[in-house]
Amino acid sequence: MSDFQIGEESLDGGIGVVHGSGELDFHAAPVLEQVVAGRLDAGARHLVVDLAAVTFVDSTAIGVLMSALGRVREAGGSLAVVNDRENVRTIFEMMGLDEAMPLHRSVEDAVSALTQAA
Amino acid sequence: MPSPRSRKRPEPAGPAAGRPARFTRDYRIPAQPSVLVDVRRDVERAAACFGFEDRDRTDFVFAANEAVTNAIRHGNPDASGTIRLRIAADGERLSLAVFDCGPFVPRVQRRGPLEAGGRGFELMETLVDEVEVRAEPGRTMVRLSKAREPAR
Repeated sequence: MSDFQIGEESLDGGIGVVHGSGELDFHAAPVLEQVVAGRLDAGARHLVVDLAAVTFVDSTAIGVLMSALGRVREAGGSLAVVNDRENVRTIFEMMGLDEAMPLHRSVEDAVSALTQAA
Repeated sequence: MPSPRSRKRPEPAGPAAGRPARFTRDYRIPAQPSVLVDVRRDVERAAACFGFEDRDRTDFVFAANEAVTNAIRHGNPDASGTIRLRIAADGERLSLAVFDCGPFVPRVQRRGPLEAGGRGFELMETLVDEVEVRAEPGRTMVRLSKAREPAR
């Protein structure tokens, strides 16, 4: 069973990082939503959603990411997603997200992108 | 007919390789989100058995996941709290049908870019060849079918 697991941390510059692993489906999406909301409520302005260890993403998970994107933008910040798997990239492309939410290969890349955009 | 819990070694694919391309598997699952990961495993096994690889396989599994998720999310399980699945191959097409006891809930109206949930149906239609919905009083079936590519 690929149970979804989640970790979180803060980085300098008001960046919240959420680390997910396993399969991100309708069962797991509320957990991601809760942790993301927690980071934003705790004052993170930018968000890195590290899904490097996530092997499956469905449309409910995408919905959580899109809501997070909306909230982050309202606060004048940015959101970056980390994942390098072909099947996940394909889902993002299919849902037309690859521009609004480009996928980065590592947390380091994502943080660079966020700090450049700021 | 392999049971959902049997472990089968992967075999060469397709009728040309002498592999049975006809099978039907009926089973019931609790209408609980926690079963989705097992459903995806079962669908993936069936897709591999049928001979779908790479993109065809991941597309079929993704679409199947959407259909079963919808049934768990919006559908009505029977008195035992289960919904029925049928995975079937008829030689040229692999299909997954999801049956529940309720009226069909029409696709959610899209309220804007953040309402990704309502796009699950559109996605399914992109990923497989046919999405069939049969709604009768007290029973709804959603069936996805994907055809094998012609031999190269």
